Amino acid sequence: MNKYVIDLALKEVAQAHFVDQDNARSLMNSHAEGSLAASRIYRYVMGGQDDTVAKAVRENLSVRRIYRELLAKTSAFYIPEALAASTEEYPERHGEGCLVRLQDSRAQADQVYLIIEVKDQRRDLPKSLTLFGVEDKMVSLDLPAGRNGVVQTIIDRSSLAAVLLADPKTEIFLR
Amino acid sequence: MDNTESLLLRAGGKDQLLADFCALKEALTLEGLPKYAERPVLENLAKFLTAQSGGPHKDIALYELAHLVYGVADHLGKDRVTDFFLSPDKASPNRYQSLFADSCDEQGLKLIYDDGVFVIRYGRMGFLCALYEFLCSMDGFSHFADITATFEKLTNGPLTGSSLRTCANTLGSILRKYRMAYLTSAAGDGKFTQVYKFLHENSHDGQIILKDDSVLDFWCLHNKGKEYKGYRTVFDLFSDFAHAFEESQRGQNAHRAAPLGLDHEAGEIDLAHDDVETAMLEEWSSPFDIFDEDDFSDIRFFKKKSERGPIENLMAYGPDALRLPVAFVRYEVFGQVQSGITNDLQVGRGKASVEQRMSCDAAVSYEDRVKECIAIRSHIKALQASSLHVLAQDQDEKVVSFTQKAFSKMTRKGFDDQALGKSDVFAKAADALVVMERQLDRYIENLEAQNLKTLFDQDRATFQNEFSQLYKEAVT
Amino acid sequence: MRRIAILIATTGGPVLVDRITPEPAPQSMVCLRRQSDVLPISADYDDFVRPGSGVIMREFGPYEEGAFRLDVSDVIGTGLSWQLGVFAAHAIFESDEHVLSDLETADQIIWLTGTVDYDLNVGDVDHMAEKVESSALMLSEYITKGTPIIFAAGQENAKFLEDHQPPQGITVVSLENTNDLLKVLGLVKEVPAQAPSRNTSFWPMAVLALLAVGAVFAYSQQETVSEKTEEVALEIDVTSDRGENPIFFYGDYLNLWVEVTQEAWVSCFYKQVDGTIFQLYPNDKVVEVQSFSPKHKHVLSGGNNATFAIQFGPPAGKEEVRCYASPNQIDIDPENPPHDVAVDVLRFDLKP
Repeated sequence: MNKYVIDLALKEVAQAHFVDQDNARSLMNSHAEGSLAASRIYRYVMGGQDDTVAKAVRENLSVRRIYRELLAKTSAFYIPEALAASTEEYPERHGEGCLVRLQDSRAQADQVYLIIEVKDQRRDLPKSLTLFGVEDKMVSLDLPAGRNGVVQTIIDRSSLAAVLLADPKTEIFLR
Repeated sequence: MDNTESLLLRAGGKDQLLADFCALKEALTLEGLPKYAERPVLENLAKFLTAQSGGPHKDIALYELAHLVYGVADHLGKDRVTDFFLSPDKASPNRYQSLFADSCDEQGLKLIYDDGVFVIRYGRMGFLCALYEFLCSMDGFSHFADITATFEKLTNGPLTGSSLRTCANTLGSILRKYRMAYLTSAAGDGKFTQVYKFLHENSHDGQIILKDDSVLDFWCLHNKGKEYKGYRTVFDLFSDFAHAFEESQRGQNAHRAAPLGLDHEAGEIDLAHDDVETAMLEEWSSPFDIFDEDDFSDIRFFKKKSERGPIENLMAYGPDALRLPVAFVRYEVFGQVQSGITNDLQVGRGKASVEQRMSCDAAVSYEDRVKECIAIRSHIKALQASSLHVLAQDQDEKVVSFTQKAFSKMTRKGFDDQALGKSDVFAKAADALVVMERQLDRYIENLEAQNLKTLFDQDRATFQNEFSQLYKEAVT
Repeated sequence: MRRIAILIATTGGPVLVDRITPEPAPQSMVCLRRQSDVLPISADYDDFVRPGSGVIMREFGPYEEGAFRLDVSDVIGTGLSWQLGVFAAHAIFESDEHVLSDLETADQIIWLTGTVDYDLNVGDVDHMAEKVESSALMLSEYITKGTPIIFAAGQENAKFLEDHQPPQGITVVSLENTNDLLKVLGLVKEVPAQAPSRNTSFWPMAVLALLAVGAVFAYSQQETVSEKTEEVALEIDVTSDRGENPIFFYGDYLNLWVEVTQEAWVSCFYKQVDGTIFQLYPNDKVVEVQSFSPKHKHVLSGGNNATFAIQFGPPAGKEEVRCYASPNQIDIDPENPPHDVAVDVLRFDLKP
């Protein structure tokens, strides 16, 4: 049999080491829920489907803020809040290399066209649009495939996206 | 869909740390695979996060991280930092090597400043990425802005030792507060005291002696309680206990342990450059971690069931297995039987199966266990010769002839003409195989020194008896 | 104004063109049921409309607005077979004498499938049988009501439809180009050519679909042949409404026909590609099992009078129905059938 002699003089220091090891072992063996990893939100920002993150972004302000931070770092186009208010119902929003505007639909008065125009047609067209308005209001839309530098879809006039786009203070992220 | 979001605001106390750590365990790649390997990446992160003791600089990884962030910004671009650390890609050495392929060598990322060179190996980057992500994510992302601002400040300036230390100190300060809030010692203190008291009561002449049988005796005494029902749990407890004393012994002459930071009154100290090298001591990690790396996927060194499975634990525990080898062989043999019983009960496999396991009739005898280790050791030696064949192509003919034989006998995936083009992989394997052989040598030697037949018969009777007590309700 | 309902044939059922609206937007779009749901075919529709790549603006323009919004009643999936219907809809939209209509108030229903190329040639498309079958239920109502219905398609597709003898009330029109279509719509002076005479072969496919859903067309596979008194050997013939070696797809119904040469008791067994065998006939849906009379086509499943229907599902592969006929009422073991019974097998391909 093997013997291992304990040095009593080291008891206090060893106890501290032991506590560390015990805590590390607890971490490795635990299955606690309650937090999200930043890469999971990043994955969502990049277009990955994740219902949990989607719900957390909608309902949890901290998560929404990091989502905004990550979006800002990965967006192809960013349109900050406009300095001057516009008299138009839906102000055209100009960003570096892109334009976002809403256009009334003749067919349906309760719907509007969301039109995104990218000046440099060699650039990849955005696949999603995310709007951050005042009071941390936020909405994200998947965009259809664009063509000839234009991405176009239809949204309801009463939708949060249309409401936010009517406000020049809304920040626009396109990625 | 899980209910993570519903709990985001509920976690607190020690639960917050557990939840934050588990969030990283659950981080996935785009393909749905774990982003971080449990070993060594998450294990190293767990050790780092819980390191209140140790030294000389337990937070040295923050200093390494500062280097890596600067290196990424410098080599790949500042706009790539977030992507490098947070993208849903496997945190593997191969990924990092390919990202730095244009600007770095095979060893890793080199940063030159203040007349010195700092190297971050690709194998270390997975852990540093996990650390970055943990810092950003912890406490419901409440430090994300501060941490990214700290790194931006670092990368916006010139590379100097001073700026790196300032960055590491700021991170250390944030982490210290987090640890203070969420790391508790009560449970660990209680366990330590319990083991210490048990050993003290069973020792004589003012000496406390930890023996193989201490583990079994403690288990037999405490296995009716919930915490120590599993023999393997008790082995880990004693292993940690002994390990803690060894660590203390090692650190006795080293610097006093202290966290990085700038709050001197709180015990934080500024990082001195000289501390770095001594702090980066290698801990044991399973040699199988090497074989799990991406570039090994096309070469089959080990058959999972017959060549790897039987020594997986021995390699994972490393020196902890050799300290008390008899206690460890019990862990392997009867711990396995107990895992089977637990599993049967969980899945409701039925009384007959549980009873069969409780009888320990199917337990592998210690003699057979040694024979199995010897057979695998022979395989490892053949692998060493085969690897040498790949690595010794430029050597003299005698060596090549010897290794050629071993190589040609290795009729399995990856041991073919293509192998000669993968000498870097075989070089890594060769190092790991040496470590494995040494580990097996010592284990076999230790066990062969015992009267294994008698020992096994005694142990089987003991475990039979304990299992019948522990699980009698389940089979009646 | 003549009210014309344009139906675009799809394998999922006919889709009505509800409305066309010129819009001051950069791109043309197809929307679902006047909602803000944009269909994925919008990009192809935009190409089809846009001058340069498409034909609509070129043929019917110019328009002050840059694009159109086309509202449809249901989803149109991938492919380009909607082009013919959309071309017809735009032609009507542009007409002063015609107007797009719903089905209820339509003076005429036009069911279309086909492509339209840049030179205005009409192209043939696939999946005709499925398109007809999936339209049967809806159209049966308007056939009963007396609304004239035209099936318009490319030449091969039209021949396919003709070969299978459409029921009364449906006229099949073969189109070589869009000019033929405009004639059908009455947008050029020439009177559209009448449908060619029908022959008697396959149209029961659609009709059977109608029958299967309890629709209006009377249909019977019973063909009484002149009775013969002479003794003949017992034989059995198993076939389906799709012939001797048919191909079926998931969701299709198996319309199984059996004919015997003598009065006989019949048992049928279905063998799946995975080897599973189960008894098809008799089964618990057959209340009173009787012997089969000779020289008479018995509809076992899928017909108007059938007591059960067989709808195909997985697994796919080569499957078969094996029927046995015996002068006596006996139990047949399909794994080990008796030697003195008559047998016939219907083999077919089942595809997803």
